[in-house]
Amino acid sequence: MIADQRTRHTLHRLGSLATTARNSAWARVKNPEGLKQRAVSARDRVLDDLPAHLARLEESARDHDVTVLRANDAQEANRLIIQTMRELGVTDALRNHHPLLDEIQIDRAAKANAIQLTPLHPGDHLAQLGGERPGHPIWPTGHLTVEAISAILQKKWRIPETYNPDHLASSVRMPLRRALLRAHTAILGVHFASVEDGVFVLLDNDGHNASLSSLARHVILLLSIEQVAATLNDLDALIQVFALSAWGRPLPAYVTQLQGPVPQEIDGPRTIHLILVDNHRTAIIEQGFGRALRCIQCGACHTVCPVYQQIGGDGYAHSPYTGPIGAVINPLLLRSDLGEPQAYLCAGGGHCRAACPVDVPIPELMHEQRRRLAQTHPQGEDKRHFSLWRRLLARPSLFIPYHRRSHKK
Amino acid sequence: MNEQLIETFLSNWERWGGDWERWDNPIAARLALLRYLNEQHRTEILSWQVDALPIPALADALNDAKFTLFPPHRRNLNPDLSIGLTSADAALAASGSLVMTPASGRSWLPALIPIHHVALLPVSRLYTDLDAWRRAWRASRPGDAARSLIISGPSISDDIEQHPHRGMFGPRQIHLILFHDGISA
Repeated sequence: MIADQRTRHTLHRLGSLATTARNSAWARVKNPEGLKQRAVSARDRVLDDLPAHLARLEESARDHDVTVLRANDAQEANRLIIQTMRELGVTDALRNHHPLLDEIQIDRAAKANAIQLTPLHPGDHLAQLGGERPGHPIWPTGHLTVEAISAILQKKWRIPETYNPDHLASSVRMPLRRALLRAHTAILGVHFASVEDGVFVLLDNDGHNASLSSLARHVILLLSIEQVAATLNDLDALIQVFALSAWGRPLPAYVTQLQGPVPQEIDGPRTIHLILVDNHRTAIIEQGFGRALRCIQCGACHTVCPVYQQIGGDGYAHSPYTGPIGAVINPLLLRSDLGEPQAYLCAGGGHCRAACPVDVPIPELMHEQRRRLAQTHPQGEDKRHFSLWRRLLARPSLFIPYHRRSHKK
Repeated sequence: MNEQLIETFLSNWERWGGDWERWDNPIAARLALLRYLNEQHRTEILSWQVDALPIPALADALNDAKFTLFPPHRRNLNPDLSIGLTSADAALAASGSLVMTPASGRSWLPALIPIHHVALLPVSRLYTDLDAWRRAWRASRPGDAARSLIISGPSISDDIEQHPHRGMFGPRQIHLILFHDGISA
């Protein structure tokens, strides 16, 4: 549990602002249920036959001169990135903000291989400066107070003491813009890819993806194998539901669609490498948890979850997949002692399912996880569950608001 | 042109922080551009090639007014660049967005790097939404590259306690000059 009340307040405020923006944006959509259904169908169409769609994506990408590589796990993904950079003769790169890059621990791999990798996204950059781990898929520093960010910048960059968010953002802006204008190689986590036409989509509001993919001469794209759309029509539905649920906007400020390299253009990459990352996803489908991979990582379930708001991203064993969806996926992704207890981080309120734009049945999947774990460790479930509740009940100041929120609807 | 479509577009454009002016013809739009550039007190402008901009006789008008357009190149990009000038291939009413596709002389960088982005948009390039534009694009250019950039408002970062900070990487301000060009969409 987060002991600091100010940090808890910051997380609550994030949840409240994000939820209000999301509800308001969805209320302006003409046919919200129709759009959600398009997005769900788009996800299921691919997940029902992932190998065939990946094969077609590879073919489309190669048709546009993209070099395609496959990584079975995080270690292999990092090895392919390092190998590609060596082949390109580069030792430094800029990277975007994407949970997949955190999942494979690319920063650690780069450091171990003497590659200077700079996160260009301001939140990621601040998190790295402060030795913090991203706690939310959209706002990696959503749990940090303005005082904490000020302290990081005073200590690391010796900026004058200020608690004005604009002044702090300006302090970060100039060095990052300078780094951007020198960009030569970019490592970019992709939000979605379309099998039709081999299109790769990057989404953001600050423009770091658009600028970086325009300026970098060499781009290495990383794609989670499940984040694929069969058609451009499906892709459009996914882009729209992502923007509505992540940021409360019909589209983000920047939608960047890459296809192949453009060696003759002033802007755009001369080479594009695509690394398709599995890292347990095929096993997740085989174990019957494929519906969890409908997730588009918009973070909507986080901001409505009373448990997440009490424990923050650190409560999920430093996995990049935090919040309710993390509690479903992490038992399958992480070591058993780190992942399995997360299946019990749920009050059963069901707010996550209501907020999810692609209808991931999170409460059912979490229940299924607990059933699976109880079968694996026959006497473990009650012990784990009661241990969690015992800790929560021992702190009434945490339990009461948590309980009230869980039963509000 | 459907007036409702224009109003929806401008309302959504404003919602995401863009500002705009609207003119009846390209000549009035040209005068509006010169006035706007004069107000910014900058004479050097990162720009698309002038013949890719949808206003007639613009090169002479800018030249007479002592403005210099220069194309993007890595050596002339710096973090303090002030003004970028482009048009757009399309605009989407439902989201208040501009769409750019790649073509010679139409780099994305003037829309991405300077602090102010000025966009010239004929109303004939207005579409209802992303789906409508995509359908029209694919019908008119089958098999053409799908590389594109869709911009909906200025660059905004809200990483510090959700406080919106404009101009983190891209422009702090986007000024749209919308004009009637007498062409049916």
